[in-house]
Amino acid sequence: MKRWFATAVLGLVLSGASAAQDDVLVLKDGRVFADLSMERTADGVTIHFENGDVAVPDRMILDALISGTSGFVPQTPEEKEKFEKGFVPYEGRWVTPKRRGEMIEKRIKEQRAQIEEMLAHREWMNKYEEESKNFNFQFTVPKHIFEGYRDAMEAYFTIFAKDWKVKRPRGQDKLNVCFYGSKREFHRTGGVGGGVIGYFRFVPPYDLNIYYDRLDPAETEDVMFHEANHYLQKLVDVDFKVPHFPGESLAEFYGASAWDPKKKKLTTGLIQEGRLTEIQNDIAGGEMIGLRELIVDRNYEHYTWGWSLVHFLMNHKKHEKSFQKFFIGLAKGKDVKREQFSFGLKTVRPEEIWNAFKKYHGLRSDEDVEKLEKEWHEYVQNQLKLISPRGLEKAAASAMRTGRDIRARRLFEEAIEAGSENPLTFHKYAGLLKEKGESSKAIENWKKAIELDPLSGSFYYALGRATKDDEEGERLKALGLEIDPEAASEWWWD
Amino acid sequence: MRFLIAALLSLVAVPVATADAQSRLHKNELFGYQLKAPKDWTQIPLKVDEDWLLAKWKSDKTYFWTEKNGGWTWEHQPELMVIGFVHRKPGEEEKEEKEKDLEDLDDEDVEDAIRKALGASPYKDYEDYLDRTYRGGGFYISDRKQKKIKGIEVTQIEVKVEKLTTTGPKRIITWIYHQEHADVAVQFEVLENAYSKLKSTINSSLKSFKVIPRSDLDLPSQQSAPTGWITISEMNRGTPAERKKKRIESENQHREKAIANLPDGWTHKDYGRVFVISHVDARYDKKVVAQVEALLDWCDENLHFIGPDEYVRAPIIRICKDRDEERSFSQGQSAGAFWSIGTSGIEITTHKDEDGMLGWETDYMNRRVFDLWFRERDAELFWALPTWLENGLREYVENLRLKGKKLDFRPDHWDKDDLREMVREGRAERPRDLMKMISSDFYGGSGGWDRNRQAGALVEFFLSGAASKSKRTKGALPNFIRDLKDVITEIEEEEEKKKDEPEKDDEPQTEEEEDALYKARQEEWKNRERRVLDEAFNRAFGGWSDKDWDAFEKVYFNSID
Repeated sequence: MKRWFATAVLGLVLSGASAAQDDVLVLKDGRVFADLSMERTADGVTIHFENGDVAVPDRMILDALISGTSGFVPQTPEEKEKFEKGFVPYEGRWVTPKRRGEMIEKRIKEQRAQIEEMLAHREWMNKYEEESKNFNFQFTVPKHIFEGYRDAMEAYFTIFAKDWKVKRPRGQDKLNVCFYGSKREFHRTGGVGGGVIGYFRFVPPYDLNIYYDRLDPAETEDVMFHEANHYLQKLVDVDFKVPHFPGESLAEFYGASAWDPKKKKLTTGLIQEGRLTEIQNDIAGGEMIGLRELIVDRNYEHYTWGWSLVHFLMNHKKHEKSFQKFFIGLAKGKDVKREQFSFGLKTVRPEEIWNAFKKYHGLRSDEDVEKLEKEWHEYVQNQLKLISPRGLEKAAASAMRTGRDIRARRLFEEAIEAGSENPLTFHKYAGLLKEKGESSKAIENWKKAIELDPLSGSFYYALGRATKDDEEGERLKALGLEIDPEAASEWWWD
Repeated sequence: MRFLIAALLSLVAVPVATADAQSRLHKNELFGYQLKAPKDWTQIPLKVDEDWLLAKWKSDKTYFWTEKNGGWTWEHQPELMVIGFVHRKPGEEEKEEKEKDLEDLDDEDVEDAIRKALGASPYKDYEDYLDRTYRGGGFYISDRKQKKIKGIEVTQIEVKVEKLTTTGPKRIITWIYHQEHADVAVQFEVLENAYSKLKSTINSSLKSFKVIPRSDLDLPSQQSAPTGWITISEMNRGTPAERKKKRIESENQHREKAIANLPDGWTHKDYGRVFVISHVDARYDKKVVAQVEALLDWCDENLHFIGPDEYVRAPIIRICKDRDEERSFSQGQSAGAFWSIGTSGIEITTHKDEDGMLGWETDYMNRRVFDLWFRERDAELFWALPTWLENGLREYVENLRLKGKKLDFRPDHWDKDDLREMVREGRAERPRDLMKMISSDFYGGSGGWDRNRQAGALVEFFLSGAASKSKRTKGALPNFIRDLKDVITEIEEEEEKKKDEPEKDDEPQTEEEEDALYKARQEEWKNRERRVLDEAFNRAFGGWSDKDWDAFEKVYFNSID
């Protein structure tokens, strides 16, 4: 535990130090930097912070509004020739400087209007509202980000509705989806505590609430699909409260879906690598959860082991149908004993769920249960694998949290080798290396994290802490806080 | 950017705020403002450990909101709060703070540092304050305007509370008066459907805000506040006599703070073992005092062997008029603040229960008094109690009620019915199993709530049931607690000795070794818990055969059925 409040104070002192400028930089991930001095370069934009320059590559930039852009400097003989004839390049054409000036001015005007419109919708009081085929959206994320999620939701609805034969009851309003631009706004306006990352209100008026995490958009998609799945489950029978198992487990199964915006294709039932990591931790800690125990006695594990059970059943020719019948049967089956739940809904108690599970899966004896359990456990141990860099990153971070640094190190390296471009992976790996006394390797990784995302204050702050040169270290820390006044917060409990 | 810190008033011993009930005029000379509260609104006292709320009122009139489609009807009484934010001056003090390292701090500073991190750290501004303290539902800023009123810069904020609301959709109207030394936020909260009726009342109060000359006293600062309080670690240091002295100091400190600026209609009285701050009639006060005194006497008598030399601070019982007033009293404070000074233990807030002393409010008060008594007598043992015993004792004391001059155990009939069903269906744990259950087993599966009831029944059986009358079992539970204390002390001494031994180089070198160590660590705490329970159980009941247990359990289960 070191220096935690010292850095908090420092954050307040330095955050008000930027110069007043008209320049605005809008990143593809939705962040906007304004009131700073900026300059266009050949491959992006350089922001002049008080504590140093930061080069932002084109790949991150959605839009940039920069006044006083310096004049064209010819580089090649062809450019020099044209320049001598009184032409300058603009968007692939050679035009006169006057014409270029007019075009830039027009473009800036349009851009300014777009940026102002976007900024005006960043607070919930000015939220955007849009209706799609199956949903009513309210959102504060930039439109270009929202559109992808909207399309994914529509495709998701179509696939689930077809596979599970559900539809929105006649006369029922479209689901209201609130998509917040930040975690803070989600917690504030959604009215939920710090640990919640999304929720679906299961009594009318139905309401789905999620937020956009710029550093982990894939997680945003997972949460959206998970919460939306609760709504789709609800459509099986709106008067039924789906019990925690199988409700959460199935939502996790469908949460692991991926939307390809180019091909407009949705793939469902992928590996929930974060959940798989938790299962692997349990196994490493000596825990192997049985079928009955999972269904009757557990709760949190419905998200982890429960997901693996659904994954196993849904990927098995014979079991898939039985599981679907079991799920529908809980709400509608004549042979299932349902009880009254709050809000006028009905539900099923754990013991009865277990009975129904056995019935629909044809488990007549203890031996049958044991056999299925064995198959499932084997599937978990041998078939479910971490394959993507993201899965490896999650597993590495989890190993680090549980004090298994050797494993964490291997997994971080595998994630990087597998092509991870996630700056957080390099940031976290650097933190581990620093702890192990490998400062120069840690510094390399922080530099890589900065290369991938040059506008994350915490990377500079961490690099500053690791830098031996005091003056340079202080500059980097100050730069980190200038970019993000909260940059030091993750070190408070270090 | 403005530099703001939360106003901390803890050290200010002299009254800085006054209120005139007739004119409804509230003046605060420290912050330099005055304000007129609406007519027929009652002032609410502030918590002892409150630092940034400057004043609070609640409307006497109740408004209603009914959910659509024949849902619940909720009640709400509009509220007014004044919150102060002292401007931070960037300077030397901060520079020193920057250089501070927790490793160099003494215990008290560490407590202070942790306290700040847990919730009393400075609010950046009013919106940050709302983010951290508002519990009425999901909210958003629906309007924000900047104005100059009577020469003062004012930010006018409107907030709408719409999602997952506790008592219906609400509107919050706040005007933040920016002054050179501090910002003062005046906040009204009303039900959305009542806003149009209350709009003019709200506006007239907001417009009554005036700047007045400030007193010579220094505005409180974040750095100075915590050093004024006696901390838990100070109260637990030294000899019993020294500890008693510190606890009495702490007691006085809290009483002084609690009665400073007490609004009209509130009374306070020292009853010796209990200090009462009340907004109800003296008759009810006396009933509460009699109940608390009897419970403290019961603890002294039945658990006398626990920390016999320790002084127990007299609880401050704050009795609010009703549930709503109690809720208003707690409103606006960040959870976790000032945990280290022990205020949350000594001050117990309750309200006049419509069901009198037989209601649930007495259950709650009993539990809080019991916890305070136990913690002050032996905090180490209190925190080390096995789950079944901790829950069992609490369940038991919750149901103690004064009958004549003695405490009587009055079981909850619903609990009793459930217990009966558990016994009949064979779902009830055998006492010998329940008493050896570690926490994860106790709460494991879906039976945690049922085990809680069984623990209460078992403690009752030992303390006032048939077991308390049998020669063999009469002292069984106190003996178990004594043995538990001995076992904990021995294990801690053993662990302390181990710390002095040179550390083994058991750093894992492979993933397999690392996994094995992880697995061992996962089990470590459980194994310790198991060892404490097994050893204490064997010492207390080692002489009991299976036959003895069978006989005991037969009587026990029969007493329930």
